[in-house]
Amino acid sequence: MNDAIETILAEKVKACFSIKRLPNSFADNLIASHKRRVRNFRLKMCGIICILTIALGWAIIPSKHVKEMPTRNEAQLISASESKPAQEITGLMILGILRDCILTRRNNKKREESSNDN
Amino acid sequence: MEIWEELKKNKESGARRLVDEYGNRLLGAALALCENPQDAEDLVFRTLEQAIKKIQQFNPEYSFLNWLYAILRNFRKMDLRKKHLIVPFGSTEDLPETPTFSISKELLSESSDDTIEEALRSLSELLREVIVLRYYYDKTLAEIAIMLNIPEGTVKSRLYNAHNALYKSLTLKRNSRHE
Repeated sequence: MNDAIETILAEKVKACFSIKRLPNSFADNLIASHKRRVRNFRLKMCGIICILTIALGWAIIPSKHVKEMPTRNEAQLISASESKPAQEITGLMILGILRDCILTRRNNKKREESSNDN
Repeated sequence: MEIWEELKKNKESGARRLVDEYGNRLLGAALALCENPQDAEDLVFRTLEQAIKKIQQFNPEYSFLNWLYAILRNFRKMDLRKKHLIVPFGSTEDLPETPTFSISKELLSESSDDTIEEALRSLSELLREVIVLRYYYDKTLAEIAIMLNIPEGTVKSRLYNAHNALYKSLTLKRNSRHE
């Protein structure tokens, strides 16, 4: 096609579709929408984490109430065993175990380092 | 600093620059594709919002405008699917070539902007899109082929058919004016 015609066509097409401009508030709306979406995402994540924490806690902490009394045989067996009395597993206890693990690891590392230095 | 770099660093100032530099250019394409200006503005809004969200996925080796246009095109496709309309994009088949007509300089010069807009609107979305990319964005045939993911021959064929359809429409309007 002729270059002159191409140029005129380009001018005409640009004139047709360049009439309307975006409103001045467009950028503000866009930024506000983005912020809203980020906030919603964070809220959703918080909600999911909360639900997971509650579910985990619910699964870990056993029921404190014993509905049925032990039978006579069971009571005899319990009294006959010399093991430590059973402990309830709580969230704090798990945190304590985790802390112990980390500390022993750290101590082991330190020991290894000091032995290497020597 | 490139706009995509700014968007990655600071969303707020990047978004403002994005709207300033690309907003109205995208609106032109959206106006050409959509039936009414409100839909076009909404399409641009969603496109820019998605661009801000997915800026990490942008590959700087490619043109930023082409990337934005690809997002806009995908949203348009989704809208058409929602409305249960036939999606005119994505066909890789060559369109049948109709008999040759040559659009003349005089025909274009004597037609008003409104008449040309009407003629452009009467084209199918498939043909209108090629016209917009070629004459509104000044893209080469090779660039259009990459943007639409179709062979260059198909772009040529669509452009040719769009010219013919424009010629027919403008001639018809001129004849009806003279009568």
